[in-house]
Amino acid sequence: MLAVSCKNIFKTYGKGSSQVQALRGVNLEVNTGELLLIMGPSGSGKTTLISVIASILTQDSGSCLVFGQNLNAMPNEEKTAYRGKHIGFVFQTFNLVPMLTSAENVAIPLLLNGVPKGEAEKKAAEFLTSLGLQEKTNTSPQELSGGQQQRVAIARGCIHQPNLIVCDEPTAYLDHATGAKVMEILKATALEQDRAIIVVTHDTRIIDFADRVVHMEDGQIV
Amino acid sequence: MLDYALKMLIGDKAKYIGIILGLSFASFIISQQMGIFIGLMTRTYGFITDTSQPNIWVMDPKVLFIDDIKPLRDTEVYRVQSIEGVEWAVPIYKGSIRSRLRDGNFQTCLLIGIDDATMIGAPPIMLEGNLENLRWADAVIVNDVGAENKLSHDFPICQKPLRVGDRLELNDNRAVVVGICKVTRTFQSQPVIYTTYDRALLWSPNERKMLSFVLARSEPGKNPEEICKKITKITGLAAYTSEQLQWKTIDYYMRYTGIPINFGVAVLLGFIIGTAIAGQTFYNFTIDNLRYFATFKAMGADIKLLTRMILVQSFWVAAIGWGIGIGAACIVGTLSFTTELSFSMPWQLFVGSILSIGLISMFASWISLRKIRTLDPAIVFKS
Repeated sequence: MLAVSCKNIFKTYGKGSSQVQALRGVNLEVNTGELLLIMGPSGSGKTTLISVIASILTQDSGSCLVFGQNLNAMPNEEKTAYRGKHIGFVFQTFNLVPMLTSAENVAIPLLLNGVPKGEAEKKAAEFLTSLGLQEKTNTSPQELSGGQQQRVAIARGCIHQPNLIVCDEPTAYLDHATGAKVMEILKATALEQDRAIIVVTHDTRIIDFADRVVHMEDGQIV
Repeated sequence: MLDYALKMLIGDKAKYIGIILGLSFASFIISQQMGIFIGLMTRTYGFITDTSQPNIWVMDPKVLFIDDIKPLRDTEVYRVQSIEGVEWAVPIYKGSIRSRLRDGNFQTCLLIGIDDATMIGAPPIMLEGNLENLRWADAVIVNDVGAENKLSHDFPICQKPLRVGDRLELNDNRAVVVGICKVTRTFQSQPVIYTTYDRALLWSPNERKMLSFVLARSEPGKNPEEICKKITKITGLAAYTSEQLQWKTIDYYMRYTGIPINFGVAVLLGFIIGTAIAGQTFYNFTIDNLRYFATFKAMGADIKLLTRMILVQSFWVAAIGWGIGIGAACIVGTLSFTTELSFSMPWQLFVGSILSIGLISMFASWISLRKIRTLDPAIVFKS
């Protein structure tokens, strides 16, 4: 089954002389049960592409279906709700809220899906325990190492069991061993038959974890 | 998510304290300055509230406020008395008199001459002595603040307060203190001396007309405002109910003195500075956390939820800031209770300060919400 189907996606930033064409007719399909790695140099359009796939950015033309749904054609509220339920995010800079504990950060997607606070935080703590962070559930993300923070971020991206997880440079700030560990966890935690993971990265050390690798250059898949 | 919004706010201690300080400052300045202003305004018509028996005050039509005395002929009392619907009418004298102190200094006092027969217009609270003793020869009743300060012996060195039995020299006349009373402080903080109407006329500098006001009461069941209109129509004098005269007095001070402007400027400054500090800091807090709000938006938080989060944060700091500010204003008010400083905190002031701080926090949240509403969730992928 196709998790993602993008056809002829174009996206341009800016106007006039400062215009930059970030995506030039990108076609991409991602199957369920697949961990897809998108690689390419800076400015090649990788992040723009996953932003369009995750429906946080609207393409200028072309169609992008996620599990058969054309998200960018949906009204904003419906799109936001779909994203909250079916898409998980893992960011390069983690984006963990420093004023909240690790468990509270992980509980956010559950709260956004209407799970009561107590239950959400309990599930979050259990999830973190399963990732070996049982000692860190009540710790601020600022007090964690980079690898621990990324594990918390993965927990936050996966806890609500989304169908699609998009990861932007998840190993960028991690050493090789920690990066490998994070990828292992990501694959073990999130990848099931009815789900897909798209990872954007520069990091060639994690190629072994991918089911498929695509390369981008100048806004195109090459 | 709303309690997470509060945790985010409280977790950023520097900004949290900054916002609360801004709002507390605004709340304090607004409440304290307004408290002094209301206290001052209350003093301007204190004589009316202290003189509670009459509900109608009759005076020269040109009188602008309670201290603006334009004397009447004594016969006006009888004209007012004769009007249907008036239960009784009595004269009252109100004017300034010089008291010579033991050290040779002079002190200007407010002299009130009340009706000899009925004692209507007497001070509201007697602290020492009896009101009836005012009928004794040369008798006066002095207000407590005047007795303890400006009329005290050897003021301001020893300040031995005036007591019952002490003597005063009022415009070269001997006066004997037969009582100490409590009245609302006057606007000019002068000592207040009560005596009988006839004696007041005797002691005061002679003029062709001496009667300050006619105090009257409407018959039970009669509308005092209607009676006032009738008095005006028949006598050609101005007649106001006590409440109308209070407002006329306030209106005079509001229109013809710089007091409201001075206090208004102070209140406005407090409002502007509070808005600037709280608004700017709250906006900075939002900007600093924009990445997290964008993350929430990407993860499925709709604009309504984000708006609620901002409003909860704003309401929280507004409540705390208002509480600290009004609390500090109350403490200052309590500490200044025994001083010359006028201070009054009616419930309307609490409501007014809540509305002001609410307005500041609404402004702060509005500028933050403008940013949140246009927030592009795609910034979450920017490192």
